Amino acid sequence: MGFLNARHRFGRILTLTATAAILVSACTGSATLAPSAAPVATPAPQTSGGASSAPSSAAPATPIAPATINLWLGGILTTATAGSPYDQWVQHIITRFKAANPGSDVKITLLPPDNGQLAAQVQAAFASKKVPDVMMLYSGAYTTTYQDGLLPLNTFVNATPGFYDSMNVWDISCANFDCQNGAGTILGVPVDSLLFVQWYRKDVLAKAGITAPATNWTDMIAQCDKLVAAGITPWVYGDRDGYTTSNMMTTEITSFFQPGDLQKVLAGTIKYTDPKFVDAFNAINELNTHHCVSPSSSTREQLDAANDIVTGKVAYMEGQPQFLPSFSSIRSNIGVSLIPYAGTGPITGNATNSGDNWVIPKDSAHPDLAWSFIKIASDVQAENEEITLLGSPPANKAAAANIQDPIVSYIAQQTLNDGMPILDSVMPNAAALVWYRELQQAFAGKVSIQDALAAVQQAQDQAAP
Amino acid sequence: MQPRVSAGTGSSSAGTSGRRRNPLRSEAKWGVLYALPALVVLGVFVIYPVGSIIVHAFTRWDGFTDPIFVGLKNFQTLFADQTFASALRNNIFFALSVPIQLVLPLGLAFLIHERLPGWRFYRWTYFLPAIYSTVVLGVLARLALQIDGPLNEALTGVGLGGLVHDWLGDGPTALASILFVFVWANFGYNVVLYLAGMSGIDAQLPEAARLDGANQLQVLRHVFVPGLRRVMEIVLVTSTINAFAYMFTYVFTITNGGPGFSTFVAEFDIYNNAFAFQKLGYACAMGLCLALLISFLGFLQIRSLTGGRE
Amino acid sequence: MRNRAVRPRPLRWVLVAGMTGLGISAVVPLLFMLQAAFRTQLDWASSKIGLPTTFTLDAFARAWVQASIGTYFINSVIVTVGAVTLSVALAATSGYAFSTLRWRGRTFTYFFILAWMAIPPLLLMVPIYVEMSDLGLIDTYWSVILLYSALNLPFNMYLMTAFFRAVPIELVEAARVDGASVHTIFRSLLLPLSVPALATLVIFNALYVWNEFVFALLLLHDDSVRTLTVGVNQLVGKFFFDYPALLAGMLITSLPMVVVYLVFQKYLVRAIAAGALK
Repeated sequence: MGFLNARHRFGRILTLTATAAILVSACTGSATLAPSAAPVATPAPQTSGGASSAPSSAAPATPIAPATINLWLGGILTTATAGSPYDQWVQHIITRFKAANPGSDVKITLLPPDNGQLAAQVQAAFASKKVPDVMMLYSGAYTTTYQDGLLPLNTFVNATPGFYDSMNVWDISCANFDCQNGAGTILGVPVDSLLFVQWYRKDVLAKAGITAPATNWTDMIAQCDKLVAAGITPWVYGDRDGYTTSNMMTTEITSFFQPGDLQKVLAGTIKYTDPKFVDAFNAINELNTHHCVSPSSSTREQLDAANDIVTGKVAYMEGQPQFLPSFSSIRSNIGVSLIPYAGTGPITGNATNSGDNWVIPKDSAHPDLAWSFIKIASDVQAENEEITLLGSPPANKAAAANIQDPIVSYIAQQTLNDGMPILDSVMPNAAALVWYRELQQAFAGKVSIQDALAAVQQAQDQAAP
Repeated sequence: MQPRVSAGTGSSSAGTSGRRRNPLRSEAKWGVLYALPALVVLGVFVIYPVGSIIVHAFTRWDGFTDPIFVGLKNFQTLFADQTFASALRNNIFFALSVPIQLVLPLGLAFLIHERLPGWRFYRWTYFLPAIYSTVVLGVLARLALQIDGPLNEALTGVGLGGLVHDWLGDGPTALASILFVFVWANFGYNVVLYLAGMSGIDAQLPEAARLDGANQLQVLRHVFVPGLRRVMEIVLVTSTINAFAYMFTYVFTITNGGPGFSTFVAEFDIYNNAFAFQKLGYACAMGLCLALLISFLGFLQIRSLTGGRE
Repeated sequence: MRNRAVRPRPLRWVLVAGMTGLGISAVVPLLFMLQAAFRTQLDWASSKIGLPTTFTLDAFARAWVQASIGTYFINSVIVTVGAVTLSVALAATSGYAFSTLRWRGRTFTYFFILAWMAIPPLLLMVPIYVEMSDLGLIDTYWSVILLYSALNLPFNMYLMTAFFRAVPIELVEAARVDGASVHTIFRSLLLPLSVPALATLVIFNALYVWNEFVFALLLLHDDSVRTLTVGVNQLVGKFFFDYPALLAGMLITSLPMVVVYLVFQKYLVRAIAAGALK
């Protein structure tokens, strides 16, 4: 008899839980906000046009059958949750897309911020041929990885006069990162440009009597010593995933390489164990020997470590341009400059490429609508908003030339001065992932740089088909 | 001890009337039918995908283009793969905790069952770690174990500054940290299982033993443990499988396989190969080997446990 | 019956201290999230533990607004209730088939199913995705409900079979002699007896499903069906600067399950105890 009672209680608990869940859901139903409708007032005036102004976002002459397209957002837009400036930027584009293509709409899916999970989802989609119509992927993700699944965009680009010339940082958007002025196989449209820069706190530098950021590596180390003497940790360096050392390496090798060396590295004729790499690392390693970085550098996570510069604990931080919005509270004290070079090589430009790209999967159901979306997202108006809402240096040349914010303007100008691609964006994925881990271990002193680089070489060799 | 339906043998019912009646034939039919839904679901959603994996283990496949048959090449590479070997070693390290996972919850459950003061408190808190999402626990652990995190802060605060360590930056301690979090999060399951098992043991038996002068430890060993054989078998097998097949989320959230490759586990290596390296065929081969290894271990354990029984 | 054994006093209190410590450690994550969620980011940057200097609910607001927690919660509930129901039904029916019913091939099939417990679920990611999209189940609750039931089937079946086999054979035989059909024995004799085992299964499966992450991420893209674990993961990616908000969000997602547990565990305990009074 006791058991029957127990069973009834069981059922009652289930009902209770279900009811509670329904009540909770009723109260929280309003929690999912609709994205904000009012567009943010853009301080930067719309361009009055230059010689290579972007084509207008007016719809092409031939009408496309209306449909709702699937948009997957990766790269910097993985955090485009409702209410965020990232989401606002996308919504503005969607509004204009709907106006240009009456009856059509866009359905957004946010990809996971973690690269491995993102890869899993994208991979699964491609393998099952259930792909979205248009995607934004960060450059490192697709340049070597998904090429076979993407639609070449040359026909679209050629059918839109002036489009190619209106954008910069094309190189790695093409197969074998050789766009040949639009004649190579174009696989993506650049969204923004990527350049690793040195953020610094003017007030913290001033405490040690330093008035300007270092411009070459010897200066850098000298400043480190000064700051350490003044009781300040010079650099924050969050290298848990190896990204910081990687960014430093990909920047420093620009000053050790000859033109064309990067292609040779990828082809295997220059090995990763080459002295150029080793010398670059040894320079970076001086940050350790001169106590420029705190002992916890190798276990702190990169983005988390950025908190230290916000709270004024350090003077310098390596980072990408997109950190700017998080520095809004210290805006008057933050400055940006190029990471000082340690080598004396001939290359005069910077290591830079596109950060994110729009791509269209081969099996996309609505490539024409996808292209319409991409065009709108790449025009001056949208790219202007990239600056204000995303803090990104836009890939659209006209928008880049018209930036009011001095910091973003500086970064955008520097990306136009491109010397070579950023290495880990163009390495085979398998090698890149070993590269990060091995560099992290090398900087942490757990493994010699020669061994670390040898492991990377091995990974690249094995990745070749 | 009450006699039980015999384990493992099929047709004849032991020790009852030998009269064969119709019910036996319909029973056979219903036996199959009762098992059928489970078999169908398993077949469609586990067996079929595994078949796909077995096939792809002999191919080179990047997920976009068609797979290319390469015979045994993946397996050859696998046997020379250092990362996988070190990942397996980590799994074995985790498996070494199985005796603890077997015995500790038993002791805890026993003390609760015997109403040690505070037993109500223990009973409701011990399962709590299992309630938290693994992702949440992993993130919290990562935060807490940072070199400038709360754990080290707390240690310095109570004067144990000498114990401060870079828990996650150092291979061995990182591995130990993951293990600790895993054991802590899961011991509650086993406590519940043991408690459920203990409630099925006749309360007069321990009483009798105590009246005969047995102390608590003897009561535990000679009265409870025999009655808990089945539960212990379950705990043993699941803990071992966990050590080889359910560590992914912990590794992923706490260390992401780092520092370097030192906290890689087999699942993580599979995941990496499949999605980061686009070597799906190789990942399938790896997974296949892992599955075979786990089956073999499980088989050994169940055999050795049921070998000495009725 | 009360424990009347004599235990040396010091040992007893050492045990009590140890077990209490263990119990408190179970609550520590909640406490940690609580103390962080009410603080500001500046507070956090200076010290990871501590009381808020400025007590603020901002972190909660940020987390709630930006993480669609309400929708995700409902989805998690639907998926969990569905998957657990199916899992328990399959476990009970198959458990019955492998314990009390007698049929040819029973042993082989039993061990056959058991063998699949060894498959690391992670391995199945890509083929499952392909299969689910072929079946048109992507972005539906059914995809994960069926998958979770299938993945946990070996263990669930194992547990139920073991439990049913522990039932004294005389009871079953007596029922048969009384002319009870195969179904009656199942429904009216075995099921009521197995409430503790069923309760255990419900808890274990519910926890697994509620916290499952990898397949939820893969199979449920659309926000309208996404579950809470994926939501938490998005929090981690989104709030890489903003730990108070991240912890506030994690707190919000953890609390419901904790509350459900507190309510449910009394009944579970009573169900287990009820089994002892057989």
